[in-house]
Amino acid sequence: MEYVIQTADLGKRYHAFKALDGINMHVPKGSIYGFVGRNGAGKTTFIRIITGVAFKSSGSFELFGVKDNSPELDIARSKMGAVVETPSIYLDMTAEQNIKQQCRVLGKDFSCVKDILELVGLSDTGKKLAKNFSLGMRQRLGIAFSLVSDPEFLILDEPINGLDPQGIIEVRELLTKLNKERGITILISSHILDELSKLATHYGFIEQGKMVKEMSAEEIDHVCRRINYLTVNDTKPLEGVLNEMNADYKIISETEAEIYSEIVVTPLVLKLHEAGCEVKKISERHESLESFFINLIGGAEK
Amino acid sequence: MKRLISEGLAKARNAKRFWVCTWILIGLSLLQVLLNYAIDKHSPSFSESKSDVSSVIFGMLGNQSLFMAIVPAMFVVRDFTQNTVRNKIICGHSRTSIYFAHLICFDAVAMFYHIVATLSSLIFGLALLGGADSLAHGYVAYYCVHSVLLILAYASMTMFICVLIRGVSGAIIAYVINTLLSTFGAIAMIALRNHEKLVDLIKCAVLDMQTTELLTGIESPGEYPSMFLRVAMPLFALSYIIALPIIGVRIFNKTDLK
Repeated sequence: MEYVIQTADLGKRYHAFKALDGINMHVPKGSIYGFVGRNGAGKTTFIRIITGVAFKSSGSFELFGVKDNSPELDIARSKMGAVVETPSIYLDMTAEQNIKQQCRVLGKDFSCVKDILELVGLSDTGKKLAKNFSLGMRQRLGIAFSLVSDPEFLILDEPINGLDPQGIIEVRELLTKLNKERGITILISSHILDELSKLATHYGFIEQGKMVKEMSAEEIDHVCRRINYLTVNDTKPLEGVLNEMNADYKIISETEAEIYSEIVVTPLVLKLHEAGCEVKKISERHESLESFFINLIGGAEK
Repeated sequence: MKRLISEGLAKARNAKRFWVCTWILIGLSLLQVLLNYAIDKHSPSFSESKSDVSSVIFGMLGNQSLFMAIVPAMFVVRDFTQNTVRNKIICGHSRTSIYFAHLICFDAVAMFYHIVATLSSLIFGLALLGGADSLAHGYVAYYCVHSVLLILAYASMTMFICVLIRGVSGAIIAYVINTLLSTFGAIAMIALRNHEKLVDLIKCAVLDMQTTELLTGIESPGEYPSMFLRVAMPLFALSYIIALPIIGVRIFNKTDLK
């Protein structure tokens, strides 16, 4: 498989503090890679190193197959666009002037300016200066900046922060379009797991500077568990029956329990009846990406 | 780097502040000439000799560091405070290119202001004070070259401090540091007053003192400054022009940005 980014034990240290501790990441070409982690986990630090804004302390990475110590890394970076943390825009210029400045930096003519502004929904801002934009508009202008170079790879650090629901949908559709129609590989870091689950094809979970797990969306679907939720009159006999069945379960209260193993309902109910346990309710739930992440991070902390 | 220079110059010429400062410089040059004219006409005993155009042609040189702090330094500083320098790194420009592109734009703006100030003083000076024949002396050519070197040395120093500090305080410190260096330089000169060569070296090392020497020298052309200073001062200015960017690039290439 071809990877746009591969890292090997990538580390970043600020004096005694390890912001990144041996990160191994693989972003497949053509994927939308969801980079998930809590505040302060190291997502932005990682992104800053890949984009060249900060320097690594240890380890290595490859971008489009070019090693980080190669003199051709800058050429590899020219195939990339990124929005790191807050959008880097000229506040005293209009949206059009901002994009024209970026065109000058890249040596491109201005023919793409209108199309890019239309793509991100900023074509009608006229003479409004960027300092008077809402947060959502600034986010979109930041994304527009990253598209000027016609990149093969986009890095977006929390791109939907500050966007209203309509804006979130528009960004999601834009990113899906860029990925499907132009084949752009996208790395998104986000806290909004629900939104990420609608977009990402691959995930990387980071906690305290360490990569906890990398998974594809299919693997997550498989692993995100079905939970059978039972309400009974007394969980003591239920425990006995579930232990006999070697089931994976958790007693919530005197009358409630969750069963994580796959079970066949009829034999379970019959056995519970024989044991004197009355089943009042059974319902099935899927574990969300959110709860999967919380459990994963909880395991990582241990 | 060509693209970065084009971007920087476009930013400068589209900025209101740039043109406002240009007109202020022209106005100040006129005011300076008018002041000399008024003194010659109404209080001739106030100054030792009558002013002519050569007295005023480099008169704005002492204010250049202020205009550098307001315009080109602020462009450089804002590239860091707004994080737009990040866009340039992300899309593949090397930090060395970014530093030198900033410096070239800085030098271009500084030289533009120097030329505007000098030309304004020349035109207004010729019109009101006369003395066109005083410009024919060889020392005027020397001072033209020296003033250009001084401007470029100021620019290198200001740029270096702005990249080192990467905030608005960088532009302020860059302006203030020349005054601080002058003050400490003067104290050192007093302490070393019996060692002429060391005093001369201090005059060469501190850019504001070089400016003072140049402006004082214009009043007494041909005699002042000494031959040693006439050679040493431009060499010191040249060393700032070469050394500070080299050190600045090395620091910038190792610095994590926000």
